[in-house]
Amino acid sequence: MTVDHTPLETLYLREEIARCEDVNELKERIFPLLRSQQEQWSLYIQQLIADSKFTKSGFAQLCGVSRVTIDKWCKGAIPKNRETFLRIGMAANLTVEKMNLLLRRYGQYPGLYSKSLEDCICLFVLGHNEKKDALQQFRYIHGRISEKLIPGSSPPCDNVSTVKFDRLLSGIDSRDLLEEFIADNISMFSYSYHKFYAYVKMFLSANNYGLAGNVFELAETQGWSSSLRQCVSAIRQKKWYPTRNKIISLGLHLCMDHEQINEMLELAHMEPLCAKNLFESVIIFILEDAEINNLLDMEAEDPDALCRYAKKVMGELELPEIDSFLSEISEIDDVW
Amino acid sequence: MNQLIVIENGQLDAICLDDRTSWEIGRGSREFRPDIRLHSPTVSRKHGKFQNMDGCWFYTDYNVKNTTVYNNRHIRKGLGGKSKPVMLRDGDVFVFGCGETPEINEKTIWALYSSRNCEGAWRAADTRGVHHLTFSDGKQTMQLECPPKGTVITQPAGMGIYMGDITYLLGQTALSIPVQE
Repeated sequence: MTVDHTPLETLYLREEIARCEDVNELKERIFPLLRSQQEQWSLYIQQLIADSKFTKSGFAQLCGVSRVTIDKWCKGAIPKNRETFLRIGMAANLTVEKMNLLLRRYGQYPGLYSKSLEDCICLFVLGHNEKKDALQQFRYIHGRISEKLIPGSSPPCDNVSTVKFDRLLSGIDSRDLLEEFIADNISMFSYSYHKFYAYVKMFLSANNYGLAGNVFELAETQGWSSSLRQCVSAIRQKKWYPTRNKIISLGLHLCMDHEQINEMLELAHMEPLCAKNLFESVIIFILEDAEINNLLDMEAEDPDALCRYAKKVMGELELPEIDSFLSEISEIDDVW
Repeated sequence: MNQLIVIENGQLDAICLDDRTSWEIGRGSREFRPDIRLHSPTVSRKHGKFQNMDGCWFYTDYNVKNTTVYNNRHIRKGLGGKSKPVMLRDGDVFVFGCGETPEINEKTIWALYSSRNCEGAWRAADTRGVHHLTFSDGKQTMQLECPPKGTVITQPAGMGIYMGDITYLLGQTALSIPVQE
């Protein structure tokens, strides 16, 4: 009999993080239990290429990257965007479940979501992949659809639940029917993250950040990093494609607690903060510490307080994931 | 259709939230008349607000001394005293003015957010002293043994809310109670 210890381990880690009195204890007790994201990715991609029928050069060509890039991945460099992860998964002819694992665990991105156009095609080709040429099929269908359809050109359709949308998609068994299905639902694809946008806007409105949740004003006032400002600007236009670290960064900037950051992640179709991930274990520690020890002065209403505290804690840790994340956090006053 | 079903002191009100973009809820005062007026003294005069944002409904609690329980958890202030709006989903349950104990009684107000479309008016059935209930909408039958107050029964063609002495029914959902000897 096989016993899956995963939920127990995560719960155990979560409780252990909550027990840590300070960042040194976190470093000594929790970090040795976790492998870095780079290490995990390096092992995974090497195994994936070994299991595929391709050489490293062949795999590189299929993914549209250089052989040098593949070598970098094998040494732990993590691809910079979700589209690359999709290409890797399709090149390796992964199943839908394994593709979701690749996106979520190694890319920190949302899993496949049928109401996103590219994901919809990807779900179809991975589910109908007898010839084991998922990436070629994807490119062919995507090319045909892009030629024919202009998003936003069709009238809005009724909001169909994701469960129902998944069911309708799984019933499609030919390319022609898929193209027809996409044409009928084209306006649905631009509606994928509206709940996420609404949540951020509501939070801002309820906390009197600018007029009617004007996120851009807040970003200007607090002097956010340029990349975070760009994502905020895109939220206003409902065009932002949420990425995990940006959502976490946004939550810290807005002084959100653990529960609220998890809510944002869920609305962006992602898993909650994960205690098994080295970087996220630090974020969980910061949020729990701020809440349990009441570190934020309720009277002062300082919007930068959580960010400053996070920066202080993360600055004490020398981890590559944290270094790249720190660049997301604006250069706010260092006094704590 | 997005509705808030409010039960206070045995009285059920079904409010169609879509009629406006925001609804203040509370006990009110001479100067302040909330859109949804509650009467229990355990509820604050300005208790909270239901608000629509880009088609999604949210509830924001004003976090005064009389607390609100949302899906069995108290709504607390966020970090640094921030407000924590909650995004509503079909079937979400509130208990207003319950203090630290989320108990449903004559002093607290129970409410349900529903986005289901069920036609007809709510009906009340006397369920005093009844421990075994059978709900049926003609398509589905559900049996409950001593359910807790506030149990919601959803069926394809109707729904029911068990509140102890009274059970409220909507649509084709009907209740049968065994005859007591």
